[in-house]
Amino acid sequence: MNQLKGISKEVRPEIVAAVTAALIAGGLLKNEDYNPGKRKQTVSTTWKMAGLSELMRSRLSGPRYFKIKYFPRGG
Amino acid sequence: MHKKLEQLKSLRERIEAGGGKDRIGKQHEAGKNTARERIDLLLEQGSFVEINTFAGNEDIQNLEHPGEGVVTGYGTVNGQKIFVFAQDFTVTGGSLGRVHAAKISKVLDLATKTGAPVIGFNDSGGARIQEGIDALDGYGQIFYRNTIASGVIPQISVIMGPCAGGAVYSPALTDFIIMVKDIGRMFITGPQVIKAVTGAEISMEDLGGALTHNQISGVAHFVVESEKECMVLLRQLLSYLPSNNLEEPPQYDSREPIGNPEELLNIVPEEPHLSYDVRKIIKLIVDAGELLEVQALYAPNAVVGFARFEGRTAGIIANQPTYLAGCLDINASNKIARFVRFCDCFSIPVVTLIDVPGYLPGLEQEYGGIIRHGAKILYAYSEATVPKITVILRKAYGGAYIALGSSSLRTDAIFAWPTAEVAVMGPEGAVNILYNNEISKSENPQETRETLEAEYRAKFANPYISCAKGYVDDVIDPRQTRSKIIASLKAFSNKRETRPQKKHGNITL
Repeated sequence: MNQLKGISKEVRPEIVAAVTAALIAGGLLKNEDYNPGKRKQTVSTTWKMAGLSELMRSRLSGPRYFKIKYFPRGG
Repeated sequence: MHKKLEQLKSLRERIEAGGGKDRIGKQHEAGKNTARERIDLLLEQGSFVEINTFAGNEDIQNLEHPGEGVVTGYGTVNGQKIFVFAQDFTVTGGSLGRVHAAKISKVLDLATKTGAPVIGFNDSGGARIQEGIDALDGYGQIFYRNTIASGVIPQISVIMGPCAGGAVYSPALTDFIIMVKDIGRMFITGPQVIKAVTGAEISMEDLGGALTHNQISGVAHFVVESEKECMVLLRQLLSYLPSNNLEEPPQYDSREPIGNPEELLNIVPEEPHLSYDVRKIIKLIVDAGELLEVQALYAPNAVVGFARFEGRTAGIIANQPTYLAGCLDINASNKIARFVRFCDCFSIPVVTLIDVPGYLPGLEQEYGGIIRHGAKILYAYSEATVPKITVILRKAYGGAYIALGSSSLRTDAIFAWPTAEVAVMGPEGAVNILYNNEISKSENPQETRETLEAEYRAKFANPYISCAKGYVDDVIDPRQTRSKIIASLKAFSNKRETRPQKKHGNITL
């Protein structure tokens, strides 16, 4: 709420430096690429999929979807 | 045929040249890549397939707006199919008109129908004013699709240039916003309008820069130094996520945490008033010590992010005692609730590490609506049907404990370290309420207070009472934390839970 009053609030350079240092320390500003290894896709069991389907049916109002109208003529 | 193929090649080259050499030069001078360069940097080489390349250009000989200011298509990242759009600032400032919006809408539709994540690179001057209400409708079409796709596919927005006015609401409706420092800017009204209306002067960067939205407003989730780092972060983020809400999160080879698990015995101080960095605990229990922290700079009293246990993604939520003693406040409540809901959308189990003295007291919090915002955590945990594992590290007091993955909210497994203190409130507060008369009437109030506090701590502030009552499943050696979490995640990986029929709940927004 104070921020609304103090619009002149600035991002101070020393804070930026501290934040950047923290990000580097946390490994967020690494230059090298990120490679966690080979991505393996796991598959849900029938049991779990049935539960998920039941859960979603209980939450959705119905299979109503939007009508697709890509390039309407005449604006 | 050859002549026609030559024409096709020439047209394609002209469209791929975007706004032309001069504008591309200016884009580079501003420290920004072009839309096509950004897509090339992200996707695996040669995997990009463009769609609607010629859209909007009926007079093919006079290409007025090549690509209509946006490049759309799909490709792969680490073998995973991704849909992507990148606004092209070199073509009419990346302004959004009817066809520009239709191209983005089509990408969102295809991503939703095929169950693949969508990434949008935002770099646009706003609505194409010449197109009037059509441009506005274009925004509406995109907002609608963002909403429909929410919870079906992961949606990630990258802010790599201006994103102002109504345009900000498309990223706002997506799951994650990444902002590139110095070039990404988001605001509803710019500095000039603010000056005209309120008289206040503020720079563009202070108003809507990457740090402003990562530290102050909480609109953005990640900040990166450069576009190159942004692509690394995108690959990292995608590595944790399934492609859609019906898919399981991906699995990688298991990696041991970095560091000696014996260190877990020395991180939490014995003195309850002293703080410690909860990230040290997280690094010692998750695969390779890797935590991809979400909103790292916002509400630092809570730490949320993605990690892996034996190669499987989990969402980590933890109180951070180094800031506000780890109390829950309005910002932390919003941060935690939104993260738990994201995890629940995409079948990512939730692991909560608790050390919470309570909700943050104060007028600002009460007037700001901590009741309403704090309720979001309760709602999110109660609503979540993914496996929920909780570890109580130290303090677990009052309503804040109940909100954070307590057994009352159907958490599947709750462990407590021997240092855990599960109680209605801390010893100081409890003694003040229970023994106020005795303390004030005693000859040495300070001594009496200390004695009573020690008695209270010995009697109530431990994990065994909760264990005895069945609210906590087990008290564990801190060194067993990782193995207990892994065993629980395996045991509950097949969990299914249903809810009463309803259109949707009414979260306390």
